[in-house]
Amino acid sequence: MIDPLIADRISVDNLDAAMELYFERGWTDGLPVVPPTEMKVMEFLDYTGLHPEQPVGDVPERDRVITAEHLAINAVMAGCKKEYMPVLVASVEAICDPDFKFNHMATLGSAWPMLIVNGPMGRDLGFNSGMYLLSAAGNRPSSTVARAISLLFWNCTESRPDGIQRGQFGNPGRGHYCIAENEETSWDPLHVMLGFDRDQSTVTAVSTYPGPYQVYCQRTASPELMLDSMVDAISTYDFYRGTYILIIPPHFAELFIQHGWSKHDVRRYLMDNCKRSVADLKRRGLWGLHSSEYHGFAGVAQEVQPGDEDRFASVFKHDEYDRIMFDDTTLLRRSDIYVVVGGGNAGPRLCFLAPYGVSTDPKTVAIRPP
Amino acid sequence: MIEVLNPTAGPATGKVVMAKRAGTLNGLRVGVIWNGRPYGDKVIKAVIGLLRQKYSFETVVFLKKPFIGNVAPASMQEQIIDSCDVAITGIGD
Repeated sequence: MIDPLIADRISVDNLDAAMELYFERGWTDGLPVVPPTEMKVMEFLDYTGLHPEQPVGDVPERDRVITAEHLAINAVMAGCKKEYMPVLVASVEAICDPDFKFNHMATLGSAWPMLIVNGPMGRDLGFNSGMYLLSAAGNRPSSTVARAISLLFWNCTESRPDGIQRGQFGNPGRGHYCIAENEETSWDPLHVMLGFDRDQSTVTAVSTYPGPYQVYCQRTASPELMLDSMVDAISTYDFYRGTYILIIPPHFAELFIQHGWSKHDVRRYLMDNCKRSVADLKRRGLWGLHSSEYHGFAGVAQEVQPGDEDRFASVFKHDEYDRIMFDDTTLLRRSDIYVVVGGGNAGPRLCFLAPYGVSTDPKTVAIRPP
Repeated sequence: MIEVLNPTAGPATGKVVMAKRAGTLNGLRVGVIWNGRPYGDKVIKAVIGLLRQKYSFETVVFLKKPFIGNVAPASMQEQIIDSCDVAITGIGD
């Protein structure tokens, strides 16, 4: 039998009053929540067998330990079903992992994690891997798990605009970014590429900058032609280095497979070819912006010099311009592309999400079934 | 009547004790921890420049955190504690 919960209890007259209470106390994300009662929260904890005070995530930067009870309360509020708790537990473990470096989510750039669910649980619980992938619209597991994570950090670590978050524009993925990969192609799914068994369910948290970037890729005669639009898009974005997410719809995945290309081939082509001339970087004001050099941006000449048109810096690969283009913390992080199959099976677009590369790496955690 | 639950984790429980103030920087060994953000070093050096107009001290170490979003590593903190009387640091983006 699980011990009683330790959260403060508040008595209200009725359901309407309960919903208003959470607005008044600043405990919502701007949308109404399901008022969490002890009975409902206990159902969630009973399902997982977790003690209410069982730590799920340690957040030393906020001097907090997130417990199973905190998670269950916010999961109820978000409208989750108790069956989503194992996915939620793994998500919190990933986000609170030292490799993920939670504190970066306070940044001006509004970074927020994309949660990618792989393995049988993604499929069996019905997480969205198809149309409208990135907004979770109408899909209960994707919508509510993403929302539960948002509410949890809102309420338990002050990760909100009137708290520690200083994002200029916010991240539209907050409360929405929870997807499953479409694992029906012959490609290895993401978690298998990362070393997990296919039958093991996992959650991967990848920090992303706001805004998925859809790219027209209408030339399909060869894999290279399919990817050259993406090469251009990534190369002319803000030149971040870190772990990008590349989402390939299933019909495009089949085209690559027909040409004999694996996910590794896609990844290698992009990593080899995403680059930008020194001249362009200077004109764009990116040359030396995050320089590791002691004098930083001001110490790096911005005028286009003869030969700059023919010198290229790589987005992904280490080269002679590393310490001009990236700071020390970025250079210590992984430079990678997570290729994920998903999205609708009609349409001429691929999609990428740029990384928050400074100080954070993605984290994949195995989901423990109840 | 319905009884509902508080979803927050409560206030931070750790106690932060302020370091004893030196009162003056004259004759002291000063250490600096720069958080690594671009121009953060320039801001701190400007602050040191202003302090030198008023005090006479030695800047013993000028350290840069390896990761912006995390506290300084224990080894860095120990270096400051072992070799300095006071430390200057700052947060910002």
